Amino acid sequence: MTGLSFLGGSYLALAVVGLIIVALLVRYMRRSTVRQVDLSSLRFLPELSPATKKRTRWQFAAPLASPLFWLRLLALLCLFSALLLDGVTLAKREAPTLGVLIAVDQTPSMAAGAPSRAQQARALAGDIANHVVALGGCWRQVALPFTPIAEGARDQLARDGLSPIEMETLLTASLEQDSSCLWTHVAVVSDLPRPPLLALAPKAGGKGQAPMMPLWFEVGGTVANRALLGAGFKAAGLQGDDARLTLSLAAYGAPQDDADLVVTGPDGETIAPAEPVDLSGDGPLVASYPVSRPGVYHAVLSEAGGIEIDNRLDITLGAIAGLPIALGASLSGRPIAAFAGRIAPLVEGADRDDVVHLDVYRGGQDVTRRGIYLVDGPQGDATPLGYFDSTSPLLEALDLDLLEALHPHGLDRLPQGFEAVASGADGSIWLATRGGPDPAVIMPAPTGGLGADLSDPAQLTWLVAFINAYRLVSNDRQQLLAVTHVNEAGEPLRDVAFESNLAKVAGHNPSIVDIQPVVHAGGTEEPFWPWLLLLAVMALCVERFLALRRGGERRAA
Amino acid sequence: MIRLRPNPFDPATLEDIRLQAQKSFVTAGTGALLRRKLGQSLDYREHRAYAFGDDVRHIDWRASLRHGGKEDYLVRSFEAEERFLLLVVIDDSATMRAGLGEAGRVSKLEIALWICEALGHIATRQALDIALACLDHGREGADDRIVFAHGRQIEEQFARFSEMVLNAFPVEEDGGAPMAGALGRLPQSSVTVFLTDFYRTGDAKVVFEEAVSLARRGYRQAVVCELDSWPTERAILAETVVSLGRIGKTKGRDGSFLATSHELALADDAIAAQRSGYLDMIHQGGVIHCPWALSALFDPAAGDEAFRSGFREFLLRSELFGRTG
Repeated sequence: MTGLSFLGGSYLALAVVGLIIVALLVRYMRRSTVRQVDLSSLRFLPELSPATKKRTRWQFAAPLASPLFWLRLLALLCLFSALLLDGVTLAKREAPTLGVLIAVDQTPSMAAGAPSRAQQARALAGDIANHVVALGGCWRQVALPFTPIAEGARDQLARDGLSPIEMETLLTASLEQDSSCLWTHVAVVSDLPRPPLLALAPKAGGKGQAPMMPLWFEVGGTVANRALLGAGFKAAGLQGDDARLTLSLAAYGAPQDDADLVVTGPDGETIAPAEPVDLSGDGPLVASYPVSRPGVYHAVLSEAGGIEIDNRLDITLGAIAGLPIALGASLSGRPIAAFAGRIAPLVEGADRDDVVHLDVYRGGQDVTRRGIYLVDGPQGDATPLGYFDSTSPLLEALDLDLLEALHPHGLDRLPQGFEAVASGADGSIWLATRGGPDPAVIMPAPTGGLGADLSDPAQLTWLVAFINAYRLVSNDRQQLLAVTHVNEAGEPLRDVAFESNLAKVAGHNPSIVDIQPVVHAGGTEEPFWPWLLLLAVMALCVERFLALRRGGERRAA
Repeated sequence: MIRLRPNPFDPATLEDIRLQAQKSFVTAGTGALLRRKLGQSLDYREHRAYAFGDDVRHIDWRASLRHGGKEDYLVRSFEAEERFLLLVVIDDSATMRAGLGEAGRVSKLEIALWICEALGHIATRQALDIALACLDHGREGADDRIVFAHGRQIEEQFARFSEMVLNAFPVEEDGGAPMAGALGRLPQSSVTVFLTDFYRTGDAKVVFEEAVSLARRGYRQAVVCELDSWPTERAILAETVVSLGRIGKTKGRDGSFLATSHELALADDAIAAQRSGYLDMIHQGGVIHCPWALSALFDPAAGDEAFRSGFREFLLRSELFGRTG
């Protein structure tokens, strides 16, 4: 019986109560025909013929005519319901209440404008508070990021921006933590537009309550602003073009004076743009700067009257170009040598460690150096994965990190340390890679052998795979580009993107008059089962009273 | 604890019944048991003319000189002083207790106690002594089974007596202690009323017979009130399967029995034989037999009225109370 289990407690209760009810019905229907009567003349009865003591007669209507049966049935049903409905609660209506939590945006963009948006927000928060007090409600003013606003510290703005998700989290936490009032409304005063789908989860324990929708008040007016949105990097092309650093800018409104964009290199030298940058316009803008070596670049956009928090970028370039290629002797003079020379400079030196060796792989040889090794001649059957086709443009987006997680194979036996990572649908292209300090790639030779014409479009798949293999063994997957907004001290800033505020304010504010007391239908809830239990006990008491009164009558009858 | 239900009689009705009973009998009737008569005592009654045989010491010379003739003498006559006692003996066997404490029923023991209470009230009004006793209870000591009361004590003593009888454990069939000691001390001018159902058998019946015999010894009077419940119970039993229960169960008789008409007829004969045995003993003389048919044992509402009418009839038939002589 150790494996005996029930689907749930309610099923067990149902079974028990059902059995009791059946027993109750049988007891009422089954009446003995033997009368229990105490008569003085019984001792003078002669030796009567014995009758069956267990003779019974069934009275199917007897339970319905007995009030005791109905009382017992009521008590049982109440007990069962109390077990089954222990999660059901009764909503307790309360008097209308009003509690408003006023959250004022303290992010850097609130400093814009004259008077500043922060000053306007404080005035609006004061109006809301006065309205709440007039209605007899309670209120509290907090700052976003969530800190209680103390006197004298009202102009202190946060250093970083604030994302909508973080804002929602902070508002919910503020409602949870502050139990000094029954909060019915949340009023947010900010210069940002209302984030879509912003709803605050009900307080813990407030089962059945709907999420609270904050009232969103926008303050401030439009401010002409320029912002550095981000940066990009374009490596040197195969056609000999230089590596480029591109900066994305956005502009809104007429600037109050001429803006200036200065980009400095890793050694502090000012880098001139590839083309002149015109910052007087309105809208998105891209500025391109030639770069020749990795390092940290700084971009500073100076303007007056705008929101300067988003005007500084730190751009870290991980690598500009890969290692030089050292050709094996068997590849000299082949078309592949010319192609490799277009990717990276070709150098001599079969024993150097700072180069990418490009050579032919011979079965059974040990591959120890960094390099790309081509398998020429017959190969084993590759396992077609089918995730890209040889003509698919997706092949250009070949990601070696992704391919590494797959396990095709192109050779019957790979050297130690190599993993077959990818294969084309037709098995013509595959890669076997080895990580570590000396990364290496084994891949098939171009279709047609080492002397094939690589300018043939049919070789495009192989070329892309070769370039990826070179990137793997030369750059070793360094992070190419990292862009961070920083302040004047060079400290990184978070969520500045939400503070650019280029084309606002919408100004669709709700009316303060809309803040009215609320009747909480489900504010306080009490469980229902104690009432059922009380009813069951009362029914049992009445039943006992009637049963005791009728006890004597039953015996006599 | 079982308590006696209220007596169907109120005191005023009992007084009416007593007066009716007194009017129904002549002073010198043989059945008038409790009456005053002429006798020797210090209680002056009247003057009357001297007759031959009167004690000359009772001649009132002064009165004779004032009112009598020359040879007429007046003598003082006195009331006779006798102490009368009414003893009520209750049969408290198991058959008398049947139905005791059950709702919707009146037991024969309760009816007997009601009779005791009513007789006690009348005795109080008549300035008589009354004693209450039971046949079975107190078998260990014969003295405590008789409760004497006089005057205002009757209510208190009856309450104690009824509580004792109602809550006593019923004595077995062969139980009961002889009442020779208790009845032998009764005064000469006593009347003993027995309240029984004639269902005692064996040794219990012998105890009853001895008690009746003692009660009528020395020309004392005894009244046996037979509480007959058989017709009512017979109607209840007709064509039903009954459990013999506590009363009917004896050795070899256990379980349930179907009371058919044939078997009820056999029961009729058995009970008739039982009654005849009692009646033979009673009819030897000095005993007044008062049968009382209990028709409403299972209907308390009708039982009150039945008791009232039954008690009147019993009082008339028993000739207990007459006018003062």
